[in-house]
Amino acid sequence: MSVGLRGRAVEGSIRADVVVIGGGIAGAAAALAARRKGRQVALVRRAWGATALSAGLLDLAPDPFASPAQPLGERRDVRGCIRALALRSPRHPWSLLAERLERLPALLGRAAEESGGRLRFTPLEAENRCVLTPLGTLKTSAGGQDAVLRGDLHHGGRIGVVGFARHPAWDAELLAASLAELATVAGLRCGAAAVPTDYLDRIDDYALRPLQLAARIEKDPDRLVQSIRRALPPGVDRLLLPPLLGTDDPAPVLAHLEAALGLPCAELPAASTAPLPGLRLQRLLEARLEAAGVQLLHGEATSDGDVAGLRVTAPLAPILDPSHFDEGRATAEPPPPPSHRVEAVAVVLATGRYVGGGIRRNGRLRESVFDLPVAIDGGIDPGSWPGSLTSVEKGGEQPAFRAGVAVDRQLRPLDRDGTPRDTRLFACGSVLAGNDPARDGAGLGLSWCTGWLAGEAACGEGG
Amino acid sequence: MYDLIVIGGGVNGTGIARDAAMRGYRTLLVEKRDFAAGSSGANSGMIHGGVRYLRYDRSVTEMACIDSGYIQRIAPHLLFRIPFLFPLRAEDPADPSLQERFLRYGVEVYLGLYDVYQPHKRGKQSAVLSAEEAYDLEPALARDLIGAISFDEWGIDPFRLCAANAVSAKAHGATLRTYAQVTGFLRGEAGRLEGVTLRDEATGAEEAHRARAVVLACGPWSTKVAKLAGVEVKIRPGKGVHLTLDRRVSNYGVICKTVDGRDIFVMPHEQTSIVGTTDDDFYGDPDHLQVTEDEVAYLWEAATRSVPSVRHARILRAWAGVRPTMYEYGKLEDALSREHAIAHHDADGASGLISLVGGKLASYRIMSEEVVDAVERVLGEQHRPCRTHLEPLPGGDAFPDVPELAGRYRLPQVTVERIAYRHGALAASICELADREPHLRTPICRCEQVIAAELAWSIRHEEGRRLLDLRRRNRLAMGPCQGTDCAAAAAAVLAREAELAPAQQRRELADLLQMRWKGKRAVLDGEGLAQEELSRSIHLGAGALGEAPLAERAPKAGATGQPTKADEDAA
Repeated sequence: MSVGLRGRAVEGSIRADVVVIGGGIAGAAAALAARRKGRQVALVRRAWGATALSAGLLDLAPDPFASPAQPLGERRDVRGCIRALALRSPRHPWSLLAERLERLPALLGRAAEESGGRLRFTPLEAENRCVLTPLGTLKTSAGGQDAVLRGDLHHGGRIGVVGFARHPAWDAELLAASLAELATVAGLRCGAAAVPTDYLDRIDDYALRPLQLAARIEKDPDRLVQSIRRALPPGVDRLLLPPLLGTDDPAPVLAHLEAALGLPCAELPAASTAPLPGLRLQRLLEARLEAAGVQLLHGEATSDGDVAGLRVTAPLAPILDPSHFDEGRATAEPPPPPSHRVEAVAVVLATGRYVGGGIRRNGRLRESVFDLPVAIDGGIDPGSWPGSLTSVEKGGEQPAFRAGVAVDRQLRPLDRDGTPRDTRLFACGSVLAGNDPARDGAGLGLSWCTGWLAGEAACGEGG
Repeated sequence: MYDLIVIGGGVNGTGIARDAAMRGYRTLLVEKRDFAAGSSGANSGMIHGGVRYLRYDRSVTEMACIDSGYIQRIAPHLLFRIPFLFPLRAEDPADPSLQERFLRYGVEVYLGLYDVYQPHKRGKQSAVLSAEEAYDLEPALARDLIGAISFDEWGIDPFRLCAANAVSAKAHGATLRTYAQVTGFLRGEAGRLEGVTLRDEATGAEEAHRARAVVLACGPWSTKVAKLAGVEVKIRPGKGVHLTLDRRVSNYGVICKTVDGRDIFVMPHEQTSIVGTTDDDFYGDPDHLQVTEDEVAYLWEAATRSVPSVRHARILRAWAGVRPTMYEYGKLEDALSREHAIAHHDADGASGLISLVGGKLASYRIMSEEVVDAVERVLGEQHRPCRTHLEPLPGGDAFPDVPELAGRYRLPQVTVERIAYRHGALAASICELADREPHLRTPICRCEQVIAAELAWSIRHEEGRRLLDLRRRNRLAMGPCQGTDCAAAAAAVLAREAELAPAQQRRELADLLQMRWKGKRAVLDGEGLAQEELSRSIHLGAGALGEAPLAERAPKAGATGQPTKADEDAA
């Protein structure tokens, strides 16, 4: 198990056909798409971002008429949901891609191929999958990590929710009670039973963090099996477990549990600041990028305007140098990190929004690499007071959280005058304007799609 | 039938209830939300002597200092020393002008006068420092000083002070009713007030309670509540805005000059820093306070000028409270007296009603004593002596041995330290609870070191009914992450302890997040935006808490209070 970025720090100038900035799911998709076209690809990223903090789902668009606590009455297929979202918000990325929706099944298929089946999507003709979340809510999503999607509640049956006895984050009884209540409301034909295990039995066990728990389960899954057996009520058809089944690929632990217990098992998605599914996805993407021959670099990109002016620095280098902390040297200014030229045919911007650092606000909203204008609902932010970019209700309309780079239909970022900044520059993922994933329900799935399309566009195709 | 009904669960209401209950009066405390949910939770968190008021009311300063000494005796665990620096600056530090030198001597004399009162509150005497000495003590100071003068103050967690008073009142026999809103008054012969009608916000049920006297201690809400009795209680409400920073930027509290010449401060408070405060007349509804752009800019300008390194910190939130200052016409806000007034309303046709307005946090105890003395006169009772300055508040009798507790119960010492700060001697009981019920060992809020046992304790023994109450009792979700990491787990603890239905659990979670959002909104910038985006992606995105609970938030009679009501939000 390796924690940390793969690849190496930027050391000299970068030369590649396509340079991708940002290493989340959008950047990874772009890099893989360009590799498929036979291009030389370098991917530069500052650090892990929102993808590594994600829940394990790859959502495309929710059913606007089936919010989690309401009956899933009018069940649209995923394609219908995407169309509805595009129609509702004309500046949404789905709206820009409306003419290319027929390519969608192929793009989603690439995710399954590239991940060796660990990421997958429901067919667009089917409805969104529906899973129980750790907050005791129901979440619909078209795609996700295989271990999580296996927990689709449409499978029905009496579902055993496995937790640790009264653990505040994984309380089987609370989750089962929520599931029972919401399944009825949502018209799902499934029952719920709590499986509160005694797996945490040492004095400090309740202080363990997800990664520590996962490492322990991975080491000795039989101990978990025995705990589940002791707590398992009769008549349970399938099990949902906390997303702690191993630190990397959960498949081996899942297979072990299924064989030992004789029940189909799945993981819940995560909803926390330390989500193991997000970490696994990030590692999966990095491994895949490396295997595909993408040059992985850590560094920070800046430009004085266009692709020709792009430079990268290795920002962490002086901090990683322990001598900097030596007695007497601590107050000395670290030397400015060297910056290197980038020679690329095309550049893909996949830097994310605030978590990723693609958009920052320091008095006014700025795009952090090219200083592209940041659009909010069609206008350019002039440096408004944050209160006026938001609304009082947290769950209400929040323009600040759909701010981003405006692009044309070829995913080229637009300047103030509405023309592309540079015909060799493309953008994808959460840096794009118009999508508030928390409210619109289009998340990592959309990022995969825009990433792949931007990668292809950077090779001079698509559009 | 009660002897006394106290309306208002702020520091005065809980203080009065404690005093009355300790004197043996049957007491009912009615609070429409939670203890310290209003002005008592939205102040600077200081038991200060009121050095600022020395200019206008020397008696207020003296009384505050004396009573601050008493509070140290009854709740020593809750107080922490905050030494302050009053920087003296000059346009050209090498050659200060006559006026600048004059100011220096003025401040020296002024703080020398304050020294007279310092022994009352075990404060240290002021010291005159050269610029170099000041920079040595506080490297964060802007380099334009000709010197500085120190003075000594005490910080406190005002939420805990109120909760401790309430818990003590209950232990002495008082009845506590939170989430119960007064809807009217009962009248007896000759219009005498004989009690109140209230609505239980959880069940929606109306109740009537009779008493021989009623005390209004509703702070800025006094006017509104008094109107129900047809009585006019006049106050001059002043809005005060504070900012909370994500870290301690200075060792000392630093007085900063604002653009209009007022004095504000940057000071360390627990794990954060607080910048405050504004003082502006407020004509709006105290239930709906919002911080505006200019209020934030005003404080920030002064703070960055005197302590430039605050720029490296993140503003976690901006919060507002309303001072229930006594009514006077024709004075500037800062010059308004912090005196208090106790009024009988016989002449207004409401005999049996006593109101308390004005005052300050540091003198809550003496004001409560005076109110109960007044109540005794109304009741026609023989005077019974007050003991609130002698008997410690719960947990205030001894400070626990933190390393010993941490070792015995195998809890992190830093966690036990924070529990001991908040609960004093009772920290031992909380550690023991965690030992008895191992699932309560789970860390919930890592920013403020709250474990599940502390939440369970507040629910079982401190009238904590809603998630927001636990926020006030234990600083849950008050650190840098503002609930991003802890809110869901805390809601689960509450759901278990209070046996909430799933929908109520979701609503509690949504309400806590909503209140945290309200305070972040005015100061979203830099990392704060990333933090909020992460919270949104966890709770609304992955957690799908969005539409469903918000629909449930519609104001129908819920089982846990009134979720749509605004909630003062502090620190």
